[in-house]
Amino acid sequence: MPNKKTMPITTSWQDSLILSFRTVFSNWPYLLITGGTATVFWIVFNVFDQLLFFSPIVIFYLPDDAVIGFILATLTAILLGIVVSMNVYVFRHSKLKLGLAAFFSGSTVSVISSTCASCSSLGFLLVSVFGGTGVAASSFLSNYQTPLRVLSIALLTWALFSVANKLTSSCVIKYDPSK
Amino acid sequence: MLLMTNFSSLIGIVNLLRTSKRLNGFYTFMAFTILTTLIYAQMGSLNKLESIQLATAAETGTETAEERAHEENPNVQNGFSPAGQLPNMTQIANNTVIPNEFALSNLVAQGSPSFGNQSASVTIIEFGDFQCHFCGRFAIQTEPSLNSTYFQTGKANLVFKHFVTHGPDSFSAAMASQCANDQGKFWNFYKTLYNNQGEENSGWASANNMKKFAAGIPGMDTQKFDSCLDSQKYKSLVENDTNLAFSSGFQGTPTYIIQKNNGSDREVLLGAYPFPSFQAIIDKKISGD
Repeated sequence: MPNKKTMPITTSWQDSLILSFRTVFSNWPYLLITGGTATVFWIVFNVFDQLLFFSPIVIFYLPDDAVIGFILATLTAILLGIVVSMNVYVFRHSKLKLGLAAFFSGSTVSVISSTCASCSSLGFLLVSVFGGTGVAASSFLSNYQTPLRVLSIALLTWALFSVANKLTSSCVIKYDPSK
Repeated sequence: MLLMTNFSSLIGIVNLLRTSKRLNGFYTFMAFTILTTLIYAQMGSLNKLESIQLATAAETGTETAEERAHEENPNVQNGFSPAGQLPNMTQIANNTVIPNEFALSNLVAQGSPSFGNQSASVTIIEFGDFQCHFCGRFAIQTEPSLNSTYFQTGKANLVFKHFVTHGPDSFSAAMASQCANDQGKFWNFYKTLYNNQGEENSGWASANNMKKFAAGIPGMDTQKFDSCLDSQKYKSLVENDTNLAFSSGFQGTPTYIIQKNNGSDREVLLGAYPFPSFQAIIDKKISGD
């Protein structure tokens, strides 16, 4: 009885990531989607963080207290851009199931955590709708902003590897050494 | 703001068209889209508020019944407006008249702390909360530049109004700051609190800590301060300030009104804007004199 073994062409997560990047980003529309999505989210995050203003003058500033948040928000925006374009590629080119849960949970957490909830209308929304519970919720979002952002980056990274694996797993062949 | 929602919608529609069998994923997406739409719709209302250049009560001298009702709202306790008490944005957008309580002379008469030349042509009114992180950013990053450029040179002055929204400790901090104002130490106290700001409702702004902060300010009569804070002498002032902010439709801290000294020509900024943004508005008002 021959010992049947399977051996994937891609042997490590680095190879899987590189191969999926080459596959997706060799097409310029996906680079555009990445750039566009990352830019939109970067703007949204920085407006929420009160670093970017459009009125009365367009201005961006980075005070000392906002440096860590800015770095995390920029990383999140870039990751979102990559994950979105890779998901779009999968939508269009394969019948594979998407990592929608990972993508949407990652993007939701990043959007919510990028808002200092209790200093914006979201905080007022929470307070007015949920009363005392809303105060607690907005305080939580505000106090744990950085950990939430790190969590969102982790979720997006997971989503990225998930979609990269799905893209490259279609290249796996069954290898039978007895033949 | 709605770009993200629209983009998500696009992905969802493409998903539905191409993979009608994968409806679970689509429902997940729809839940996300509805959530983000709700949030961004609220944000959209906020932006509308920012763009409103409020008509001046100095010109009309009137106040709507609804606004008066908000000021006299007996349900407001501990600085919080209960659910359903906030004025909606349409109402504020339509009623562009806000109470004539923003003229500098009235603000000072109400007991609001002010800083700078009282006869300066421009007045900045800050609606802030001592637990608000962005208010702290303004106090540390922006206020020093405003101070050296406009307050010290007599071109503008700053008034502080309380907009208590971040929890019970914010109320203690607000009352404590007014007690410091009794001794002419409000702005020292203001800087002390923002320089020592902790996490929201973590206890750093409790009444006991307020007494400790006050004790560290040179020249403060701590016995008088403690007695003032314990008696809740400024409870109604803080409540009135907060009600005024709500009735004016302000939806976040910090909110700034930049106006002529007499309360006319108002512009509203919502957020911790940097110095150049203030400069653009103040210079325009000064050059318009």
